[in-house]
Amino acid sequence: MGVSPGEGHLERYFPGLRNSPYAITSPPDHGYNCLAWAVGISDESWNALDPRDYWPAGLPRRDAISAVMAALATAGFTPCADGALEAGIEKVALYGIEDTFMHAARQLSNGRWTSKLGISYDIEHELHALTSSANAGGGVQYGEVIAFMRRAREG
Amino acid sequence: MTTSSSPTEAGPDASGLEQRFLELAERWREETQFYSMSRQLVEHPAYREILQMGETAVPWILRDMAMTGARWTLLLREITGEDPAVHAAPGRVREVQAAWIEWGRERYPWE
Repeated sequence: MGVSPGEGHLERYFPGLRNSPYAITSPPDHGYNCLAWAVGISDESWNALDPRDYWPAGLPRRDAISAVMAALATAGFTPCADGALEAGIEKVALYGIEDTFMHAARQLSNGRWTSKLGISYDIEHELHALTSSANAGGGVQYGEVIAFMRRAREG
Repeated sequence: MTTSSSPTEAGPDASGLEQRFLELAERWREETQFYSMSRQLVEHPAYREILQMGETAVPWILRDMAMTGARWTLLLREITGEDPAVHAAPGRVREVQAAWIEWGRERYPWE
């Protein structure tokens, strides 16, 4: 896809990608973050803890999983049981450590997942390749996938 | 504000302190680049050490943000007590950073 940070660059930070197929799909961009990207937005940052970042009005600015789920609900998402691919449905997976939100990924129509990695690259990947257990205790720590949400897929 | 010293009053250790800032900033950018929420950014030891540098570090922070786009705006708020991006659209990172750079260009010229 024409974006290459150098062979093995991301695997240094995400050892779980060494044995899992993935593709870098965009260059680094500090203008948006993982949660915005999960909602389908690529020009703003959704962040409960920065008062200048977007957070839905009236919701508590906390990084608890429950607070993030409330924010996603304003974009039409409802909780669901798993990340199984369903026709016409778009799903989001939330990664966390205990109750603290760490990362979000969005399911593509091919069943794979897309993630904005902080302010770095967007990648297409397998759901569990970014978890702490896949990283075997090293690298970036997103914790585990602890919640799923779904909404009707547009188009 | 954390300290009251200005860049021009930083004294003979300023170049050493600036070098230390550059090391810390690079480490912070490297080690937080894959995190999205602010907790991982503001609890990082390099961020905390730069915070302790206080106002002396403001021109270096502004320069680093202008050059790299690094997410320094929370730190700038914390050090200066200011919020020049209050009218920026929520979540528009570049707009918020531009407001800070415009604010800082006269107060802390770094170029």
